[in-house]
Amino acid sequence: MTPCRVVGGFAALCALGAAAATAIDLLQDADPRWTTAANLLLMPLAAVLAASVWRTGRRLVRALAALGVVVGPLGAVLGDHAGGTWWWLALETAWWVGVTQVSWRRRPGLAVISALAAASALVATVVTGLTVAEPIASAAGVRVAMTIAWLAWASVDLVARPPGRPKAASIPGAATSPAP
Amino acid sequence: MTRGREAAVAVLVCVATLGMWVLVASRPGLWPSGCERGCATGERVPGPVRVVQLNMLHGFPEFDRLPGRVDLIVAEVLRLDADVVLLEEVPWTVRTGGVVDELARRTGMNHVFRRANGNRRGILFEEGDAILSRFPMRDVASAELPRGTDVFEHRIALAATLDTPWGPLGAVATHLSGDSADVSAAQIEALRRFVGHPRYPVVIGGDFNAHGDSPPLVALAREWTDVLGRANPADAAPTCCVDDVTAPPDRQLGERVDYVWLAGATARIAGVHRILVQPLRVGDGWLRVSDHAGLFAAIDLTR
Repeated sequence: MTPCRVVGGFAALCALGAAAATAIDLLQDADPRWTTAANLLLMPLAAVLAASVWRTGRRLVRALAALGVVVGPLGAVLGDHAGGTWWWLALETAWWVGVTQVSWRRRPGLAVISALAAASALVATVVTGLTVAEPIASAAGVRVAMTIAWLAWASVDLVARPPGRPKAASIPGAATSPAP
Repeated sequence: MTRGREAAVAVLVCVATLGMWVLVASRPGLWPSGCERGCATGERVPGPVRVVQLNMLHGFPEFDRLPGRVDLIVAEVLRLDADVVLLEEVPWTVRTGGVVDELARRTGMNHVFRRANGNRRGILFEEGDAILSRFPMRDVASAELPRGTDVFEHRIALAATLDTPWGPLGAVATHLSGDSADVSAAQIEALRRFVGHPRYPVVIGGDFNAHGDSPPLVALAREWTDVLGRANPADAAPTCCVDDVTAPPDRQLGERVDYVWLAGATARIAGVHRILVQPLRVGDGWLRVSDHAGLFAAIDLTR
C-alpha cells in the first residue's frame, strides 16, 4: 500500500466520521460538540485536498483550496455559532469554490457537489450576513445537508482515486496515446 | 464511469440531499437534552410544591416580541417562586438562542428540553417541550405521540422524575394537536400509556388542544385528576387564545385547552388558579406572555 493510499484512506475515514457527526448534529442539534467534532474530522481531508494541488495549481486555486485547513479549526472553535457566522460561511464558500476548481478534471462528481455546496454556503452567508428573516432564512440550512453529502462523496472519491500525481490515463477525457 | 455520468450521479445525490433536508426540516429531536441536576441555584420558600404550566407561544416566523415575553415569564416564575415549570412551544431562534437555556439560567433551575418541531441546524428554528425544576431530575424520558394530519407537525411528551424533599414527583410536559377527535383520542391514549401507573404522584401539564367535555378528556378525567377543575372550578375558565399579544385587557380568551393533571399516587391540591390571563403594562402598551394563559398549582406532597 502506497503512502498516498494510506493518507487518502485516513482522510476518507475522518471525512466519513465528519459526515456522521454532521448528520447527528442535524438530527439532534442540541450539543455543539458534534459541530466541533465534525470540523476537526474535516481537517485531514482539507489538508489532502490542499496538498494535492500545492505544486501544480494556479496561485488563486491553491489559496482557495488551502482555505479548508483554516475553515476546519475555525469552525471547531466557533462550535455552535459557526453556522450563524457570516464570515466563516464566506470562507467555507470560497473553499468549496477552490475545491470545485481543483476537482474539475480528475474528480468531476466531487466538483459538481462542491459547486452546489458552495452555492448553498453562499446562500447561508447572505442570509446570515444580512440577517434575513424567517421563513426565508430557513434556506440557509440546506448548507448542512449539502455538507453531509459532500463529505460522504469526498471520502468515497478519495478511496477510489487516492491523492497523488494523476496519471494521464486516470484523467477522463485526457489523451492516452503519445503525442505525435 | 464517464465524466458526464459521474457528474449526473453527483447531481442526483444533491437532489436526494435536498429531499433529505426537507424530510428533516421538522422532526422531533433524537433525545432530550439539558441540565438534569446541579444547575439549580437559590433557596425555595417553604410550602407545597409550586407548579407552573404554560404554552409560551414560539410565534414562528415573526417571533413577535419574544425577548420581552421571555422577560415576563422569568418575572412570573420568580414571583410565584415556582419549583416546577412545564412549558410548551419553547423556541430556539437565531436571535434569542435557546430560550429554555435562558429561562433556566435566569430562574436558577435544572432543565430538560426535547425538540418537537423545526430543526435548529436545518431551518434555523425549532420548538419543543421543556421541564424546569428546582429539584434534581432523573429518568428523563420522552415519547413521540401519534401524528395528526400535518406531516411537518409532531407532538411529543417529555417526562422526568424529580427528587423532592418529600420523595419522587413525576413531571410531564406535552402539547397535543387539535386536528380531529380521532387524533386527539389517539394522542391522549398514547400519553396515558406513556405516563403509566407510577407509585408516586405525577403532575402532567400541557396544551391539550381539547375541551374538557370532549370524549377523550372525559375518559382521561376518570383516571387522572383535572387539578383546576377539581380544586378551583370557579376559575376553570378559558386559557386560549388571543391573536395579538399586544392586545389590551378587553380581549377575552375563548376556550379552555390547557390543563394540569395529577396522576399516580394521590397528593393534596393546596391551591390552583390561572395565571397571566391579562396582559401586563410594558412601556406605553400591553404585552401578554403568550396567546395562552398559564396555570399555577400548589401540590402538597407531605404524607
